[in-house]
Amino acid sequence: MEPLLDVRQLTTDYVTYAGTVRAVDRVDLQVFPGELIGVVGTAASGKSTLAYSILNLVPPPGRIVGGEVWFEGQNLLTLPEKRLQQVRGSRIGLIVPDPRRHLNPLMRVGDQIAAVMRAHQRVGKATAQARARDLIATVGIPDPEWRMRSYPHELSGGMCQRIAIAMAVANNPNLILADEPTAGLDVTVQVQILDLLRDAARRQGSATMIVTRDLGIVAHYCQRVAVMHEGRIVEVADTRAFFADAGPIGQSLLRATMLARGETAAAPDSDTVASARR
Amino acid sequence: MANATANEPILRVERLDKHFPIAGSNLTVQAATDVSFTIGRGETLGLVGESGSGKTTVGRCLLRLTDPTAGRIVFAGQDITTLSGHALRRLRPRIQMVFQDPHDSLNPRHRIADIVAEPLRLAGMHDARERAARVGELLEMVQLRGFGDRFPHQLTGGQAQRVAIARAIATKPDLIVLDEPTSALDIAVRADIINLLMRLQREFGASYLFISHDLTAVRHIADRVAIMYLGQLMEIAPAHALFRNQLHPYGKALLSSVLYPDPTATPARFVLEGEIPSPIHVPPACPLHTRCPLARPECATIPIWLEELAPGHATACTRAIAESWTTVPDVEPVAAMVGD
Amino acid sequence: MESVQSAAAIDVASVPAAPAAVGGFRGEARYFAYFTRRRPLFIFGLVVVLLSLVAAAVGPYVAPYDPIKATMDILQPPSASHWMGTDASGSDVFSRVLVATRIDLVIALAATAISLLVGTPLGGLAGFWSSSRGGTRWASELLLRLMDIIQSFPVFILALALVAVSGPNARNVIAGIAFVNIPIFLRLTRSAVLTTQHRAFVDAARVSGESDLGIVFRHVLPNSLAPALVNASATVGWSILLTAGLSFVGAGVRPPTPEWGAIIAQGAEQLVSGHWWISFFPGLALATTVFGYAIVGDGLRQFLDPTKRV
Repeated sequence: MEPLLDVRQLTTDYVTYAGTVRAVDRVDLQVFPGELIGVVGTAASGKSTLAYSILNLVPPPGRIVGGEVWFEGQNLLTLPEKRLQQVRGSRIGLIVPDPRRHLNPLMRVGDQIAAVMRAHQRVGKATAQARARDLIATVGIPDPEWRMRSYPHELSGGMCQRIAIAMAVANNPNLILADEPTAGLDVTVQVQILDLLRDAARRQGSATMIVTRDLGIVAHYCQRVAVMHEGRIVEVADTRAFFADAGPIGQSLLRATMLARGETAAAPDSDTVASARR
Repeated sequence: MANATANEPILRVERLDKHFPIAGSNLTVQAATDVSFTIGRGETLGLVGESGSGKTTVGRCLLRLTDPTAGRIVFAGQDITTLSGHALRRLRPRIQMVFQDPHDSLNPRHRIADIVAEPLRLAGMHDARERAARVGELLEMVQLRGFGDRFPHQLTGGQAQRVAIARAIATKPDLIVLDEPTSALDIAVRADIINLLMRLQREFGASYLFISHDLTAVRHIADRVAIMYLGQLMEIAPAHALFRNQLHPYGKALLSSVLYPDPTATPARFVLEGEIPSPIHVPPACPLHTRCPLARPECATIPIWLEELAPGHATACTRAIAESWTTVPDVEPVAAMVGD
Repeated sequence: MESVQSAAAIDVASVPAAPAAVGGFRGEARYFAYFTRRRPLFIFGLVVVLLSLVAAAVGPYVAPYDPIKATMDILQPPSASHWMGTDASGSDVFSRVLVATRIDLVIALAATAISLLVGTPLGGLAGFWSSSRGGTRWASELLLRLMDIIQSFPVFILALALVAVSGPNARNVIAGIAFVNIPIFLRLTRSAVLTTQHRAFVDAARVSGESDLGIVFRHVLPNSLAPALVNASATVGWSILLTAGLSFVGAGVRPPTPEWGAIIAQGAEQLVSGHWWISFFPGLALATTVFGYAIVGDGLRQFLDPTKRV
């Protein structure tokens, strides 16, 4: 199958006064249409930076220093900013952790969803508003007519993430990048949000890349998993195959995730991933 | 772990209330309401619940970092609910705490050795050399030998949390309140911290109150588990019994939401409706009745109480309690003081 | 990227940890060099502050002429022998401006130091007490209302009144300026304390058995000093301005003692007759110095702000 997203030798540096950190190191990754792929790794393994590099949206002092990102026949890294903006939010949707901070606090959430649609499609204000209301209903928020007139601070963290998902899928993107979409949410809300994300992607046939440190999410929602470690992708596997027989980094992550059933009682006392690194 | 019923519990919390008044109104945040539980010597009680459930407030009340609105806290047979000043400070070496954000819990201007030495100094160990020797031992126990001269910002999150643990065990306390000790840490070091805590407990026999929303960690470390929702205890049970079978719908919802890192395990999902209400407007009677798919009309009117339906396993679900009466008619409905 | 980045964009992705070798004094020094290199105005401020300190230290020894002695060369325009000309009594203006740096700086530094030493501990207690109950709460409220009263007067008028009551000399000017500056440091420290005391290490200290005073002076206050210390530099600048202002209206250091404000006042009489240099040069020195200290204060605030560190 032809990949929807083809990342080749992507390399991103963070340049600080203390020196240069290679956050993403010659990464190759393919995402196929309609699939759910999990990118897992510990903190600072470069998994979030990878997601933002794909959108050519690395926050300073980060800098993409090499590689190609092929998406729908074009290399996003050489695309002019204007064309790139047409891709972002339209062909590729982005979901960030802690959505409340990324929603405009002075704008009603319905207007924000409508604005995303109007930025990329030729729709009238009334149509966009009506579609925004439908979307709010689709993401499982009761009483959408009333809720779309709320400001972000009036909504719970879970509801804000629902709004963020509505925004991400508003323009029927072919790819959704979700960076820690349930960080900071309670477990009962987490599964609701993940169900919603999976269903929304499935309905539109979008591929989804979930960046997470939680192997539980990967196990239950992703078909494939890519393991990142120190900026590199060290393992790509089908989910079932991964959990049956993971590579060394994947093993240490699995052990660290403290498998249920008390099987980790014998886990080594030293930094598990650190020892795998040595 | 130690059998909690064999001896006098180290801690007994009786009908604890903590309501924070909201300035400029008659409303209160009902952070904890009618919370009762015990912790045996050498036992670990896991206290779980979602954000806003009041679990951290309960922990802070035990350390008297906030004063309870009502109720009693009995520690080692002594009522400490209203201790203050010198008497409270004399109690400090016996109850310690480890905080969620390890870096925030270490004074950034103090060296590691001074941070670990502080409780010793305040507990009356005035000889500097004796103190230094003890600090060396403690740092060794948490595998941070030679870190004494460093400052907190030079440590990783996991190392900082080890320092906080060394400080907490310095005075050999009888009880340590662990307030989400792993949730600010990277996944890779969480297991290390849990294992360290368990090893130290085997060596020193301290009791733990392990507050967390991470159910996999709780399952690993706790002997018994208490579940809170909107400031009230919903269910309390031995860990193995609770993870096998939940007698409260909220316990079912919480445990069925845990995503175990195993694609072959697909638990039956028990879904609650909507989202957690504000702790300012806690629904009357059973606080869960607005979201519970099993709720019956009386759930909104009958005040809840905890009742032991299986050995050590108590629930606050009136429907489950009523059903137990009809299925096992000869059981006397006794309002249980759980864990005694 | 070479340019300074906006802070808002940085929190979008988790920035990986910087290489390990940074931290402690050497790390600070390294960051200071990096920070300074891209801020020319900050360098200018540093140079001004440094020059003012050097001038204050050695000015009286290197001045080409006696700054007080009257000569026959009155009202000479700037020339090779008198770089800033001479005044109505024939004294060399350059020497007077140079020597005046010491008295202006000593007054400003002493006044700032006193207000810092009094204001920060009081601010610490006021902040700590404001969340307590009973008598201490009242003490905290009383302190704040007292500061309100002090600050409700225009600073200059209050300082003027204080000096007028106690007599115009350097010691009273120091006391007056210190007094009007106390509220600034008290408030800055108090608000920092209100934030610091909710940090977990304060709870940890309490759990360790620390007493209230121990918590304030060992834990809360040392971690709440940064705003006051950063503000001290700007306060030195403003205090110099205040000193000069008081002397200008005759309520501070009296002529013939060389002091910028007093020299400007003397020169003002000659301005109408076209002898601009007597007021201009001390005025320039005053403005540059005040500006320099303000820039350094602002730069230090940015330097110490951890969220701006990249």
